[in-house]
Amino acid sequence: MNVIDRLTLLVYEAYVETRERVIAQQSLSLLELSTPVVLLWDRMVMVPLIGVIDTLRARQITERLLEAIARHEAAVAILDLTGVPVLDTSVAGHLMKTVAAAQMLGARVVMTGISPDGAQTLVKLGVDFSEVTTRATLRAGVAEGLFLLGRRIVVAGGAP
Amino acid sequence: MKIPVLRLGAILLTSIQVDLTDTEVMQFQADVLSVIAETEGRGLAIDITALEVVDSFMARTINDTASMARLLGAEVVVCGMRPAVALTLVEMGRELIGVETTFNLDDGLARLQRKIAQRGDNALAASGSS
Repeated sequence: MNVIDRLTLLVYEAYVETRERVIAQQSLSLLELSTPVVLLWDRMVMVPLIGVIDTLRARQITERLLEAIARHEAAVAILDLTGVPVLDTSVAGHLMKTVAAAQMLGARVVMTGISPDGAQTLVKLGVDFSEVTTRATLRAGVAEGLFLLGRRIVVAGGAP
Repeated sequence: MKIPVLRLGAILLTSIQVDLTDTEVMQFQADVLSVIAETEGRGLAIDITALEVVDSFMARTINDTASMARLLGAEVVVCGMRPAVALTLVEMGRELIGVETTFNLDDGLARLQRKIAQRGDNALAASGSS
């Protein structure tokens, strides 16, 4: 009886260990995949934020963004929140830190894609985003960013 | 009572004509925000000429709605506040902090136009899409 008990325990421990390792690997690769910083135009970078933002991810986003701003000498950084499902105090706090850090590097930050629900939550929580330029859609945000760079998209002749 | 939100180019115009209950005010807020998000409105004029009484909840909601609309990328102006309303709000300590107010709708729209003209995305509507 004792032998069987030990065997069961051993098998279970092995199972748990493997599972934990897989989960750790996956969350690491998820973290790697989840925060691309895109160079949209000369001196304009964009971060599409997707999914839940926790402390770890927030720090990674900030690091990547700052690194990209420094590397590309970006003057405008666009934070797109279209893919963020919940905006709460902690997410807003993380975002504010990211914004403040980017502004310290001399980049102007434009926030886009806040949903009506998100806007309601942020205001009701008393989060102050008045320092940040916000636009409804990424489209408007890109236009604003180009404007800040002194550029604009014009209609070229010959289009159908 | 549903408050209509009218679209004048890039500007959205709403006029509150009757006294609203708290539920109706919240409904109004949700309606305005969803219209801004749908139409990418760049300006919002809230006309309160017809309102004789603005209670503190109403005042706070207007304030909040303005902040929310700003998060959605719209400039906000509140137009046509009556002198009596302004006086009550000030006495209640419930000034519309951070919201621009104008004497009438005409001035409000002019101010919105001016603000929108200074923005980077004012060329968007001219580019033809949406």
